Amino acid sequence: MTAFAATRATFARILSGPGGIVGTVIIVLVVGSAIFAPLVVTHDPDALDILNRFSGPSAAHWLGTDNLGRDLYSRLVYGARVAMMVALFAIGSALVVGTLLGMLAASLNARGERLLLIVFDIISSFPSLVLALAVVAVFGPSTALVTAIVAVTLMPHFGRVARAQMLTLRHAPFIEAERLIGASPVRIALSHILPNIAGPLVVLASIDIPVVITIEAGLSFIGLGVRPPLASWGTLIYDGYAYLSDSRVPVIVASAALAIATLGFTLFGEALRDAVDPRLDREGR
Amino acid sequence: MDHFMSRRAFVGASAAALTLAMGASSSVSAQPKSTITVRIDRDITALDPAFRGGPHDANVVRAVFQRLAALKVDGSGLELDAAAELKQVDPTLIEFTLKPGQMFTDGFGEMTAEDVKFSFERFAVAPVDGKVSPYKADWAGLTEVEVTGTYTGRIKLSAPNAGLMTIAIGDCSGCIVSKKAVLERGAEHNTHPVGSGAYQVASVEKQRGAVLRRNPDYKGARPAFEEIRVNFIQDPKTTELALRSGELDFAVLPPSIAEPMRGASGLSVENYPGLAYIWLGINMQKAPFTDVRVRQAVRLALDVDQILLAGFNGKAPRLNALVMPPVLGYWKDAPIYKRNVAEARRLLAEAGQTSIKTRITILNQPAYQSMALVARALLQEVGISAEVDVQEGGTYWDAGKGEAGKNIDMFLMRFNGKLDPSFLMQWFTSSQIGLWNWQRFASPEYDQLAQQAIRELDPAKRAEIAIKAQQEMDKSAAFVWLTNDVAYVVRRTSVKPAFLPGAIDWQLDKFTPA
Repeated sequence: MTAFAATRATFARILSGPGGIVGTVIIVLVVGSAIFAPLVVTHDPDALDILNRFSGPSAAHWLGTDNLGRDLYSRLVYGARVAMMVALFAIGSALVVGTLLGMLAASLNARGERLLLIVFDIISSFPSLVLALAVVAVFGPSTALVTAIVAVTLMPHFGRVARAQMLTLRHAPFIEAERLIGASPVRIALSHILPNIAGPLVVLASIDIPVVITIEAGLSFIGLGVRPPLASWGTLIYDGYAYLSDSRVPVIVASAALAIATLGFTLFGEALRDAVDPRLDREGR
Repeated sequence: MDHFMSRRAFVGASAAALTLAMGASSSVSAQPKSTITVRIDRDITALDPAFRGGPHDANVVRAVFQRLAALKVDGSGLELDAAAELKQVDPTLIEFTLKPGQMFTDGFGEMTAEDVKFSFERFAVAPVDGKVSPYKADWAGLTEVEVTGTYTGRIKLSAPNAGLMTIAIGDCSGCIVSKKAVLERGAEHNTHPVGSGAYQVASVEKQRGAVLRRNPDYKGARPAFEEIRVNFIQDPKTTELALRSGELDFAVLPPSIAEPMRGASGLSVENYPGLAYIWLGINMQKAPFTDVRVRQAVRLALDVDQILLAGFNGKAPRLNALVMPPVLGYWKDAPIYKRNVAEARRLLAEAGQTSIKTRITILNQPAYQSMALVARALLQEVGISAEVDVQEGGTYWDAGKGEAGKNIDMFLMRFNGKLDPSFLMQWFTSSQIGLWNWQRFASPEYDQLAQQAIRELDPAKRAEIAIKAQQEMDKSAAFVWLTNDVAYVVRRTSVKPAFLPGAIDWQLDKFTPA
């Protein structure tokens, strides 16, 4: 089966259940909004119109305006962009670095392996929020910092999975055969082991996306995330919360966006896991 | 014996029990509360009067320590407190006689004139361990407190100090500490203060606040509440929820949070003209703001009314100079700067600045964030690109101090005021650079006027001096005055608070059941 055919088959399996369909639709909408934000917004998301603050939904402002008269719909769309950027960079870098370190751990001697596992344990023992509080106190809040913090805290997840998968495959017959014909360890790791462990890692990454979105929103909500005036779902909720008595729309709209996006990525991640997990296949799912 | 009750007997007994229970509950609810909870918006930093951090500390300090005489609740004058007699012999000499038998808590003995001497002189004349109080200006001109007897003494000044009675003697800087306790406890006195006032500090917890208990040995009027919990809650919205849920009895809040609570069951909302001053400050010693034309351009680029609408829902009055009404020295003809984009651009071009990148440092409060974002948008139109730097309390309050202060660009600041022009002016002298003068405004003329305002006892002349000082500030263009705030007091209807005009300075010992 070619790679293309395999991917098509996986997608067909994802779309075979209602969860997968709903998740995919939501993801397409969220990712589409994030990519094409400048094309789909109706206003500059940072443009202020103080005299028109807290205006309700109208033809000019589909979801109304916030406490500074900014267009809520446009800010929501740009909020998706921030969430996706943080998720993409944080998970991408955690996936790459974590996988390489995990594979390295599996290849090292017992002492080296233990040392790397201790590093993973140390990182995992820091709750991301506490780590964020400490780091932001030193460097000040920024999107890049949020991304880096999330990447560091997620990295051990990928490292552990990559290590476990590599340990399982290390003595597989086809790997032994490669070794016998003189393939270098790096070549074996990158050309033969990595493609075989990529599936579970991608599933893990997709399941981590809603976690990252929530962490970014949470940090921004408590003022440790993106800097104003940049729109993030977390800052939208915070701004709405501060002026809840003036208008409930900002909080409701931003919370709904966050909840729907989280749900969509969770449903998609679960469908993807079911689609690529061979054990579930054997169980005649 | 039949243990079963007939239906009629059961209904009767139930009704009787219900009536009794209701009676009991109403008698419980009719009892006045013995504990109340009030909110402070900054964490307690130091409860030693000489090193208090601000009103959040001062409001506790006032309840714990006695003064020779204390300000009356309406701020109209002084009433004797620890002193049996307090006499202004001449402009530079005050004589006092203490009431005998006033005991410090924790077994630190009776208050004597030696304690008074120690308490006042430590501000600047004889600092303990070389630590000069940030409030030393309150005691400007003090040369010595001469002890003439166990309970008597003379306060000697080198020059008259117009605000001495109201700012120093009658308020926190006039609090009398136990010399023995301060020397024995050292830094610990900031969290375990020893006073002789109506309340004593039962506990202080970081990020939580303090618990005050009635001082059984206090010789003055017995305070109404057995216990006062002073809770630190930074977020105004959380404060609102605590008030609505009954966890809090008293708080001062911004209009946007307080207004919607009007009509809430069991709560009362009252607003008073503020005595705080809020402004956008510009660091005069940092390029490109070293050029007065750039500062003038900033001032003309901003629209104060728009900024206030964003920050205070338009409920706060506009301030055009440092001194607000009704404080002596209010400059009623202060210039009201209107937004003038063309002139701002011209000034920038003249200064050779066409594109400036800068930063507005603010405290992480929604009102400041809204104001800063409006300022940012307005500045952008004249070619000044400003980043809004939101800081958490601890970091923010250090941002303009010491070496870090040299790097600050612009900032939104709020200072609490008092009913005295010298108190308002003291933070902008050259000696305050690196402390509270974040603009790094260094004007010898202003410094001189600030000194004169302290020494001048004639109110008319003093007002004239204060206005001249404000004109110096105006010339610098380092201050864009925004508002003197509006104090929204939210309280449980069962509690009657006591505070000085402006609702910044509370007298917790005079809080009573309504």
